[in-house]
Amino acid sequence: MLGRIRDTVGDVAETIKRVFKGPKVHSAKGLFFRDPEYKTVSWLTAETKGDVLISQPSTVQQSLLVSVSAINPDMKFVAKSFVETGEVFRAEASLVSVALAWSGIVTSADIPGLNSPQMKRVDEYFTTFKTKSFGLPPFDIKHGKTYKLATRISVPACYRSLERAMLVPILLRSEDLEGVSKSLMMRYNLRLVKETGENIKNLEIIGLYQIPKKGLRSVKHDTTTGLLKIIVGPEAQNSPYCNVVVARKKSNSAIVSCRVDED
Amino acid sequence: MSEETRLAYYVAIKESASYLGGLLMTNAQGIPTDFRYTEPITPTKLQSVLYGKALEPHLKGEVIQKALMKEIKTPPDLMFVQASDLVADFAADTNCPILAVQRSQEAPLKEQGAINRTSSREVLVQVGEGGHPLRVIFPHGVAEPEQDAALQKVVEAGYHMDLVEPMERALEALRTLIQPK
Repeated sequence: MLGRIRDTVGDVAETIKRVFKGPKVHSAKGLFFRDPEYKTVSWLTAETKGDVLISQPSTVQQSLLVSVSAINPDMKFVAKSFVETGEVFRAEASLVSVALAWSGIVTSADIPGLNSPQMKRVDEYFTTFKTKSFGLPPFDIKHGKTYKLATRISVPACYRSLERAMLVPILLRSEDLEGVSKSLMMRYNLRLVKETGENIKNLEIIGLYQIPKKGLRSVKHDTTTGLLKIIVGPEAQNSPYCNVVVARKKSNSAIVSCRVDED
Repeated sequence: MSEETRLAYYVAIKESASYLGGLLMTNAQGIPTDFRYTEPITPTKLQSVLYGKALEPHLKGEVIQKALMKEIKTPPDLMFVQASDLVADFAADTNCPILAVQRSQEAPLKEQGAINRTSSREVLVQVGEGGHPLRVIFPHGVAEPEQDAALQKVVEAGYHMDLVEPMERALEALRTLIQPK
């Protein structure tokens, strides 16, 4: 009996063992993965952007190792640039959408990183535009002093010098000879002849002047202007005046003169 | 016009940066009776800036003229100034008419003493018989009656002497002060 039970259990165990035996494993190599083929795809362009950077567009030619079968219009590459701390700039491209495999085929594609784009620090372009600022000290009005300057022009000192004024010749104009009455003129002519001893026909009266009797320093007749230049002294101030006739000699153009008033 | 007639000729000139003035007093015949002059006034740079264009009129019309008039005890009957200086604000307390006289080339007026008013400030006046009339110019603001009173004196004084000539003499005397010796 026990032998029969042992055989039965052994059969059950064998049955269970056979039922739960693992499935066959086959290598998928060569079946599911094709050997990759390589093709150069369009260049990726990386451009840097930034507010304070002058970007120097640089293109990086890069062969993209992608399985030919994986290339399809749905693949989109986006170039990105990064500014990291310090002077490190990095650029890379990332694949944002690609169908790598389709039913029955498992494939993969590696996207290699882009070379660093050629970039220059922009500092050198801005060196001439650097500005500096510094704080001005505030005006200390509280302790400021005000000053008053004399703007009024003071009264000048005055001096007296009558002598200086006397040195300047006085220019006398002849009285209007035509305004002198004929009788008076005849009397002046007689006086002139008497004083000079000249013939009246040889004399041409050119002026009749009033000059001070006293203080006369010099008398000159300017034939071009007809003015009599006299220089007087202080005694002339209160001196009475006399009439002087000035005449020219026709024979030699000499000037003669005489007082014509009767004392 | 009496023997006591006193005519004043006021001149002020600028020499380099300095101003100086002179006052020539004459009698009715034009004989000098007094001559006063000021020391040169040299305004400071600050004064020049602050006074601006008013500096010269102020100096001539106020400072120098007042200083000279103070020296004259009795006010003159007439005070003659240069026509170009009439823009100055002459002190109102001169107590005598202030005017400028110039020779003119105008035709003689009818008779001695005749006047021909050419503007509110300018008058032609016949001071002698025959000859060209004198041009008399008054400062701003002199009323006509005051002008007429002054013109009366001008006619009287001009009968005896050439009223223009002493002004040239006063200038000449002043220039001798600044000429190098």
